[in-house]
Amino acid sequence: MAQADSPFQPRPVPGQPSVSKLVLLGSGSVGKSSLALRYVKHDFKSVVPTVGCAFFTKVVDLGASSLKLEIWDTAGQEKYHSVCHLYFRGANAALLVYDITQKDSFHKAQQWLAELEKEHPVGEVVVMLVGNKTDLGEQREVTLQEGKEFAESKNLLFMETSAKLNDQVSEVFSTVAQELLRREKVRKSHTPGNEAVDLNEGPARQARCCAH
Amino acid sequence: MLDRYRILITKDSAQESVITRDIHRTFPAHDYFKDTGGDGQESLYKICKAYSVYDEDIGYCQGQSFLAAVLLLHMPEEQAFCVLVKIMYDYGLRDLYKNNFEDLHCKFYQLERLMQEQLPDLHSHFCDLNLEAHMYASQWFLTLFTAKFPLCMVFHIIDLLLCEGLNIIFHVALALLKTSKEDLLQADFEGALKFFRVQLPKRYRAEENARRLMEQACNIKVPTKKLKKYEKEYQTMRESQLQQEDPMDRYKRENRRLQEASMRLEQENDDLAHELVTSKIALRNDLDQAEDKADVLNKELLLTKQRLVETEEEKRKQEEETAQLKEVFRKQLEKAEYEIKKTTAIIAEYKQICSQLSTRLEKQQTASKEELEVVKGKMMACKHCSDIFSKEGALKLAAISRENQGIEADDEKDSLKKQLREMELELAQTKLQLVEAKCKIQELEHQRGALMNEIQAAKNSWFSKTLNSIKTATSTQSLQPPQATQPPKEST
Repeated sequence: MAQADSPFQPRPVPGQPSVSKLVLLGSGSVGKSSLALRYVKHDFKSVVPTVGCAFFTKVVDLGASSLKLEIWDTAGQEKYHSVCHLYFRGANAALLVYDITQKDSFHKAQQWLAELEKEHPVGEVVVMLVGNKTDLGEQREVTLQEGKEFAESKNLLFMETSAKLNDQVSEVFSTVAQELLRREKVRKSHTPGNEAVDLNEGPARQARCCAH
Repeated sequence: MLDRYRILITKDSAQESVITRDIHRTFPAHDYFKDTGGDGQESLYKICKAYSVYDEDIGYCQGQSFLAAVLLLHMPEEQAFCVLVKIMYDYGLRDLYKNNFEDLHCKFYQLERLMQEQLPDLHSHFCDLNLEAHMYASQWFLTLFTAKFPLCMVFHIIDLLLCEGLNIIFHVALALLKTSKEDLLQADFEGALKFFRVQLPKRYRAEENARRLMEQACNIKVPTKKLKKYEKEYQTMRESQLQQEDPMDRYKRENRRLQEASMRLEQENDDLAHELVTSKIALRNDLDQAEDKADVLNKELLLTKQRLVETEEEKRKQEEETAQLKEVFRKQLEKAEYEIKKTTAIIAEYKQICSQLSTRLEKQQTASKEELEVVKGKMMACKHCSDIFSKEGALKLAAISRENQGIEADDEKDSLKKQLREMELELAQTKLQLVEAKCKIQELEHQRGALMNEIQAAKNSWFSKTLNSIKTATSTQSLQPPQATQPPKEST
């Protein structure tokens, strides 16, 4: 989080970088906390099961602009879903994480999408489907194609990652950040002169699927 | 309860995979729990699984493994389970999970109100930051501080909990906030959450700090009355929130809730129906199999019965045959014995006759000798005759006289001799007959022996065959082998 407040971050817009809230959703031990840990702390270790939530921030440097991501890591067990709703509120982006070696977690991710859509109109939130644990490829139960097809059918971004091997992790967050910025620009062009960014009020747009 | 536990651990749980994944992440640095598949992980898994079966509504909750592990470090598995159940049910930890964590949120409200009263500056700072209690205290309350803090401190907290009850979570939470007040006042939203996550647990690795914290926790006053009051406040607040809500929203939510419940129940119904059908099919299959087996067994039984009847019939026949044979032998034996007796009697008779005859012969011989002596004497006395006798004619005379006498004697002798010879011949014949009879007896006996052996052999093979067939027949069903009668003993 040192980077988060670093004055050396390029800031094309004077003042604070725009802030977006991102929630990590998915069933237990698919690697939500590990993804956050890898991305924010560049570290990978055994993490305790998340009870309640964990909070991280990171400024994403996208060259011309930057974006501060507030990352809410949530508990995976279904029992805690109702608690997670506290963190849904006002979220701009969501990562639906599943474990490619656990078919069940893929189905859970789909359920999470339904939950999310109950609270937010479709397209209001940037949603990326993330298949984690590509390092365990030989135990794979969900194919790349399956993930891709589901993401396409629901207009979600999609990537496969390995928090353990640090494969595609920062790409996940930067892709989401880029999409957030793109939507912000589109929205700004519709309401010129409005400095404050509130993605939730923007016109509902379909997210494009990111070809992995 | 201990017996209940033994049953519970044998049952399957729907949450097995979640539990397994959490077990590996519970105190992985601790010696007792570090080995995958070690005693510690094994016991921990069993406790968590048993609990998930025991508590059907709540089941296993992520984070519970820490509490179970702490208990397991102090007592055997079964007792740890019992204490876990006690803490969940009787101490009320379970209530925090009920009704969408409604009680937990009430506890958060109570904590915030207590803060407002006892740590007003920190409370207002948190309010400014929009930092709510659920962001840092969820883990504290739901795991009873067991997940992040060093074990020495956790043990104190659990001791305190067991003595004082669930309200000590406020004591400990307030003590934690109080001791970190300075740091927290200077932190922003992000910094404060990071402080709770990283620095705070680290601080109590020093036992001295932990001890002081516990002292402080014990000294903090959390009046039950106040808690009650705050609880009421929270409830009123919740109610007014619900009231204020657009009735449309409320109905929508209610509708959603009901829909979810309906869906869940439908799913359950489907599952149960599916289970019913599968179990019905399985039962049908089992029944069919059992019937098939019964058929096979019945057939076998009939077969065996038939074989038994056959064998008994055979046995009866053989017995008859044996009896007949015995009878024949007995008759023959009797006959032979009778013959022997007869022959022996005849022999004895003949012997007697022989001895009589020889006695008579001897007598007559003696008599004739005497007569001869008398004649000799007379002849010697007679001058006339003595010359003949004594001179050359003596022999002649003697010969004549002897001849005369001899003719007389010879006639008698001859007849006697003849008689004797006849008798001897007869004796020899009888002896021969006797020998023949003996031979015949021997032969018969020999024959009988051979037949006996044959019968014995026949019986043995028949008997063993029968026995074997019955044995094989009875190997699939418990049928008593037919009572095997011993082959009749020959009485000779």
